[in-house]
This record gives sequence, C-alpha cells and structure tokens, in this order.
Amino acid sequence: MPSDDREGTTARVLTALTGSREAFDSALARTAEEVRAFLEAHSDPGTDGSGSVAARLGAFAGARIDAARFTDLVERGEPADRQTIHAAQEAWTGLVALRKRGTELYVARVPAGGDLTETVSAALTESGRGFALARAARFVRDGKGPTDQSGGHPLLPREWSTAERALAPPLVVEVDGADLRVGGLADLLEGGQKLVLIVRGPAPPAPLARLIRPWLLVAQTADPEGVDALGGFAGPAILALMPEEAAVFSHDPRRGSGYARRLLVEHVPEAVPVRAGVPRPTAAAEDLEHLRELWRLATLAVEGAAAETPPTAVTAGGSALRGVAAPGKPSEAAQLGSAPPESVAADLDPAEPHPADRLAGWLLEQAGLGAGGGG
Amino acid sequence: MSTRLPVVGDDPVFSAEQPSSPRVLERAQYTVEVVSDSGEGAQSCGQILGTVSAKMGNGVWTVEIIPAEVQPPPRNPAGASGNRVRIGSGPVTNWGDRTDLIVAFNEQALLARHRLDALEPGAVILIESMWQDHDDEGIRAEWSAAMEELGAAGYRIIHVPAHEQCLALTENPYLGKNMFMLGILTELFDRDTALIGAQIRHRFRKKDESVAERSIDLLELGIAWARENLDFRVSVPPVPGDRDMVVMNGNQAVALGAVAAGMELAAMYPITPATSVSHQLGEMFERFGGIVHQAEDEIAAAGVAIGASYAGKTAFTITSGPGLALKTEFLGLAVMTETPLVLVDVQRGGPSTGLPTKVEQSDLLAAIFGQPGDAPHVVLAPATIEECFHVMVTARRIAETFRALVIVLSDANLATGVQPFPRPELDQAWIASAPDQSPVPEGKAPYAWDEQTGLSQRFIPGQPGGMFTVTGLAHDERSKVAYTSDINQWSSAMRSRKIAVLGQTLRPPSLNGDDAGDLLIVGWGSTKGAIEEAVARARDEGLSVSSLHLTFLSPLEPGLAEIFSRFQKVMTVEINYSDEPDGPFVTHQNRRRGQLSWLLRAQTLVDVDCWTRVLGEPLRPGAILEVIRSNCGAGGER
Repeated sequence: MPSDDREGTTARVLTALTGSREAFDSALARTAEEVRAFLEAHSDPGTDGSGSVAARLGAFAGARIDAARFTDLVERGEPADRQTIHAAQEAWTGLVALRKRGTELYVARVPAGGDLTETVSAALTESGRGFALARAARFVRDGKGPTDQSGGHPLLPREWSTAERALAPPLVVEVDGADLRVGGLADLLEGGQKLVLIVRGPAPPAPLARLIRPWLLVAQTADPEGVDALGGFAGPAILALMPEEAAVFSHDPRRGSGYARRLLVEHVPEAVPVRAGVPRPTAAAEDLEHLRELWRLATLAVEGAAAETPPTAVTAGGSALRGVAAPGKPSEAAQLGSAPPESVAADLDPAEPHPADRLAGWLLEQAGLGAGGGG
Repeated sequence: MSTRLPVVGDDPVFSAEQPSSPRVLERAQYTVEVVSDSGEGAQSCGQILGTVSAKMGNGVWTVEIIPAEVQPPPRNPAGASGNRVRIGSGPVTNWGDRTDLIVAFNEQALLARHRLDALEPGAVILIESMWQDHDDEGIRAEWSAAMEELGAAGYRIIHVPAHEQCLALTENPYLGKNMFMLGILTELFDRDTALIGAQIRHRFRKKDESVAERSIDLLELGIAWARENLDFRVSVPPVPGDRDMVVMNGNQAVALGAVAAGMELAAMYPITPATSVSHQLGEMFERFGGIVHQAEDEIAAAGVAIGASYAGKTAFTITSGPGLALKTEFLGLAVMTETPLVLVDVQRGGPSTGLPTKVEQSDLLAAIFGQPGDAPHVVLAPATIEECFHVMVTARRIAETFRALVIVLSDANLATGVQPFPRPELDQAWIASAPDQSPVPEGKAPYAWDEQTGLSQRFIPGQPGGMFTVTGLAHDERSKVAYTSDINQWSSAMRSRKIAVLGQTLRPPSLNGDDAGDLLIVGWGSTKGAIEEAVARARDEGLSVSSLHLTFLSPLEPGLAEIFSRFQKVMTVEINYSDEPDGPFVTHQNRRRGQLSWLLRAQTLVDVDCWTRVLGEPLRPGAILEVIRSNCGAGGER
C-alpha cells in the first residue's frame, strides 16, 4: 500500500472511530474542567495556572474593576493546602497535554518484525495515562489528598476499571501481514475497546477467526468503508483491513444470539496461499479451518430454521459487514464444505427458543402478560 | 425608453456632462443611505456596503432604518426600510448627523427621510425613475409632488433607471434591483469588487447558487451603468491598521461573547430587536456545543435559564423591554435563590409594544428597580459593539462569583449597527469551567454567608454533601423557610452586601476631556460615540465641556459626586423621555427626568440636569452639540 493510500486509509478509519475517540477525549476534557474548577475555587487567586483574576474578568472589566481589590474582597475561597493545589495543577497540566496530542493518541505502528500485542498494549498503556490523571484528580477533588501519581503515569489496560474500559480509547494499528499475530490481543478486547488493524503485504487469510467469541465484534474486510460497521457498537470490537485475497467475514453480536445469527461470511479462500511472507502457515491454515467450521455450523443452523420459519437476517451472500443479506444470491461461502453432523445441527436449531427468551416468556406468563395468557 | 439623467440643482461638482472624467470628492467621512419599501433589499445593499468598507479598512457605523410593521404598505413614507452607512477614514463611533448621499427605490421612502431631516442640505439623491412614467396616474402625481418638494429643498437629484436596466437580466427587478444599486455604490466609492462578490455569496449561501450568480450579474450591470453615467466619485480612503479586525453588529457580538465566556445555554422567546442573538447562537452552538432553547414564552425562558444555572450550567436569557417585564417574577427567584443568571435586554422604544424596531434607553430604572421586594443585582451597559462582545465574559464571571443576577443593557442601536473592531484574542480564562463538584465540607450550609461580603459557596445538585431544598421563600443559611423576621433582615442584608462589595472593587470612571470645567455630559450605553464626537466638536470651538460614560449602573461607579463637584453643570444625555423644564405644569420639583439623571440625583445628591429625546433613532452628535452650546457656562441646576 503506498504511503499516501495508507495515510488516507488511516484518516478514513479515524473518522469512522470518531464516536469512540470523542467519548474518550470528552472524558479527558470534562476531568480537566473539573480540575480547573477545583483550582479556581481553592487556589490563591492568580497562582492557580488557570488565569489571573483580571484575565478571568475579561476586557470589559479591565479599566473598571480593580483586580487586586476584587481578589482581596471576593476571590478568597477556602484555599486547599499547597500540596493538594500542586497535585491538582499537575493533573490539569497532564490532561491538557494529553488532549493536545490529538489523533496521535489513536494511531500506532508495528515496526517490521515487531510484536503486535506489545505495540497495542504500549499504545493503550500510554493513553491510560488519562485514566491515571483522572484518578489523581478525583482523589484531590474528593479531599483525599494528593497521590504520588498526580502527574499521571502510563496505566496498563489490565489495570483499568470497568468504567474506564467502557471509555477505552480506540486504536488504529498499521501492521505488516508478516507480523499479524493476534492471539495476544484477546485480553485487551474488553469494555468498549475498538481496534482496527490496517494490514500491509502478504498476510494469513483469516487471522481474526481465532478471536471470535460471543460478545466481541470481529470483522475482516478489504473495503475501508467496512470500518463503518463499528459505528454505534458499544462493546469491544476488532476489525482488520486485509489484502484482497483474505477472508471476508463479520461476527456482530448485534445480530442476535448464537453464531448462526451473528456470523456472516462473504468470502473464504480455498486454502492458505503459498506465498513468501505469509507467516506460520500451519496456524494460518488452522484459523482458516476454524472459520470454515463456524460458518458450516451457522449455515446448517439457518437451513434448519428455514424449514420452519422464513429466513430473516442470515442468508448467504450480501454484505457481511452491513448485516444485509442479498436474497436469492448464493455466496460462495454458502457452498462451503459438506453438511455438518446431525448432532451439531440439533444443538444449534434456531427454531428452539433461546433460554433467555424462554425465561422471559415464563415471566410474562406469570404476570398474565404472555401471548396466550392473561385475558 | 431612453436613459435620462436630469440633474436638479446646478452644482458644478455633480455635472452629468462629463462622465468620462469623473470628479473625485476627497472626504474624511461620508454618510450614505439606501432606502426602499420593506422587502426590496435596501438593507442588504447597505449592509454589504458597510461590511465591505469595514473589511477594506474604513471606519464604519451602520444603522438600520426599519419600519414598525413587518410588511407595511408599499410606497408609503412610513414604510421606508434601509440602512444608513457612515464611512470614515478613521474610526467611526456613531451614525453622524445627516446623509450626504441617498439611494432611494421610490420617492415616498425618500420623502420620509427628507421629512425626518435625515438629509444634508445639498445631498445627492439617486432615485429610481420608473415611477415618473408609471401607468397609474396617482403614482405619477405622487412622483411629481415629491420631486417638487425635494427639488425645492435644494438636493441634487439623479434619476436612475434601475428597473429598466435590470429587466435585461431578470424578469422581476424587484428581486435584484438592490444589487444593481449596490453596483452603483461600488463604483462611486471604489469598493473592492472581489470583497463585494464574496459578501454577496455569503449572504445567499443558503439559497441556490444561481441567486448569487444573478446578483453578481446585476451588481456588474450597476457598476457599468455608474461608469457610463455618473460624473463623480467619492473617496474616503481606508486606513488599514496593523491589527486584525472583525466586523459585526452588536447582537452578533453578544452571541460570540457568550460563546467566548463558555455559556452553554441561551433560553429565549423571539422578540425584536433581541432575536438575532439566538439566530447567531443557533449557528455557533452547532459547532461549539450548547443549546438555544426557544421557550413557550418569556417567563418560561427565564425559568429554563435559572433551572439550567441551578443545575450547574452556564446559562443566560435574552429579551427586550416587554420581555423584561414578563420575566420580573423569575428574576426575583434568581435573586432570592442566589442562582447565577445573565439577562441581556436589547432595549427598544416602550412602554408596552412601543417601538419594536427603534432604539430607546428607557429600561434603565426598570432593570435596576423593577423587581418587587428588595432584589439587589448588577446592571451593566456596553457602549460599543466591541463591548457587546466583552461584556458577556464579565457578566458571566460576576454572576457566578456573586451568585447574582446580572442584567446587560444593550439597545437597538448597538444590536443592528455594524462596526469593525480589533479581533478579540481569546483567553482560556474567560471560559466558564465546570462547577466545582468537590464534596461539601460537613456542616456547610448552602447559604453560609460570609458576614463581611455576603458571599456563600454555590452548591450544585449531585455534589456530595450538598443536598438542600431550594426555595423562593425567605430563608436562613440552611435554606430553611424563615419564620422569624430577623432572618429576613439578615438574609436581605447579605444579598445586598454582595452588591456593595462589587461596588467597592470598581474604579472611578475616567473623563473624556478636562477634569473640571463648565459642563459635564454623562451618558450610558450606545450614546457614547455621539456624545464624545459632540464634545470633541464643542471643545474645538473652545467650549469647556467634558463627558464621562457609565458602564456599571448597579452598583454605580464610585467617585461621581466628587467628579461632579468640579463642574459648573452636570447633565445627562439619554435616549429616553424627560419633560422639558419649561413645559406646561412642569416645575423643578415635579419634572420627570432622564432615567440616568434620576439615578444620579438620588445617588449623589447633585442636581443633575438632563437632555433626552425619544425620536426612535440614535442621537445625532450635532444635536448634542447644540445642547452643549446652550448649556456651557449656563450654570444651571447644580
């Protein structure tokens, strides 16, 4: 991918991640404002780093209000101790500095031969500095005194709280296909974490298949517009922009319960291409087979359901990333492999209500609100 | 029909005989008016001329000429609509005395301006000539009568076949004639055509592109017509400074100032001439965050702003005189609950519906004393369009620091007038920070008044330890309803003390002119430019006159009595009503005076005289000069 294209793609992805970025940035901004308010309320006037009294009063007051007198009479407040003020100032400065880094916070590059997980972890740890600063600010504001981390320190993702994970900063990662070892990312994909991998050069065909789990949005595509699928999804997600020949699929928890509903596969290569640069061909083949198996099961489940109910969300073909099926246009994925074993099909029978639905139905019935009850 | 260029009057300067070698009039300042029926676009024409002149480095002051009705009957003197644009080489601080050149779309609008004494003797008139040959005999008769009256006044009248010319480009010249006229002015004043074109495109940015393109075609037609037919030009050389300038009207400045102050919510109900503040905010809040809430009425708008402020947001409300009256009860609530609130009152003529589109300064005493019960608060009055921007920062800060109501008194003159001023250098310190949400210390009360200052910490809902019941009833420090009279005495004193403390931080006002003399003119609000121009002209005549302009009206700026003592006579100049001293049944004791005069007399015990007018227009410096001449050395009511 030429560098111009790469930059364009990165910018495109960053735009698609605007919501997540703004959520994180807004949390930083809000915290910085709270610290500034604390400083204004509890500092000696003119020494809090957030502007002198004269500046705060504005130009209209310039020749009309005696700022020194105003300070003496009005801006007395209840000053906090010097250590606390210093800690609050450090937190405020750190938060402002972090915000000034702009989109740089949300982009990482894996050096050739580098470790993807380490790069991602390091970048998130650096962004985690914002959470450390917010914690320090909260300590100061709540009168619990300064901590030794008021200036903020990098905070490992595993040390983030549940609330912090919900605000996790998204990350766009540029990585060579040869370095695409994604297994270590599984632990980082929690809360609201969004990762987008922009993959360069020869790559294994279905590396993200191994990350598929019930509440994680996982997608591979060659189309940069596919990143729009992340928009509005509150949970964790990983999406890879892959070379053309790679598998195209998406596993989107918003589509419903069970892999049969959540998984859509548009394209699966016949085999791992034998090309120079594709790393760990055995693992790559295993990932590919894993995807085939999941899809086979899902297809089977849909076919089973089709005998009793008309197909709805999941049919073959269409755009996997948009969750829109194209009626009557069988995809090559639909023709994959042979029929699954009967027992597996029975396990996945979508005609069988989900346990949660059964529970809800029972509760409604008990309340006299069930479909056939009440009267 | 051939193009005719009769020139009534015999001024050699304006001979139409030599269009190939136009005579250039060099002027330090020049005043132009464009008037039409409502809806014909004279205002757009004048506004673009003013804005572009300011962008070119001229000093500019514009005043909108607005009829009282939205759609008055056509060709009616009362329906004249348009703009006065005073252009100068240096700064221009007011609309001046009379117009040097007027562009009129019909003779009735022109007559209105003539009869209001708006035209300089010998002024140049560019009049749409289509009416002289109109099919309607009545209209032709009106035209003839008007020409006779105007001709007798000695103006130089140039007929402009605008309608006929515009027909070459548009089927309906009523929609576009203003651009043709703008083209004439562009040529006459040598305005930058690229800037004019850009301004036209900006004005029509929300319409189909063809509208701007056709307008520019009409503009060029007007330029070409002027080149071919007019034998004079006016040069008011711009003197660009070394500072970046911005050009806007007072309502836009208020809106921008609100954003610069970090205000998050503007609650309002549409009312002339305040509404455009919310239009401007509506566009800006979309980009910067914030809410414009159009409430169901004026009272609700005040309530929304107070509620938002109570909840920790930075809120203000916008209105004009009738709205101020309606909001009165809620303003009392803001004072009693000590909820920070900024209210911008863009004053217009009153009482009641009054003169919705015309300027007055008649809300001063209502703003200061209008709330039943004792409701001490702050009243500020910006004097220039630049101050309309900066006052919002100060008002917001004072409101929050003192947990007070701050009323900002603008007026229709500032609201619609356009003036360039140095681009404000935004300061992070101006912006309201989020309220301090640190836990309230145990035992702290929501109105724990500091006995020295009357100040207390503001609690925000949700603040740990800060829960209390807010009430408009008289209450004690813990916000418990007062059942004993001493509590009300005490809390009233605390609310009043805050305003006294603010007063103690104010500096005495500075004087324009000498520190002592025969006459001191005192003004407030938008009259500053006209007063100071009049004082300068009087001083050039050797008269011993100075002026001072008040911006803090409650609490009043200190040291006034001492300043007044250095002058033989002190009088206010204001745009509100006062009895003439020699009027029927008027005595020195019962005379109703200008509102600032009344306030100053009460506060300083000095017998301050006044001269006021309520003509529905800004004061003219020449009229003030006459007042100075007749009062200097006169002693009078000291």
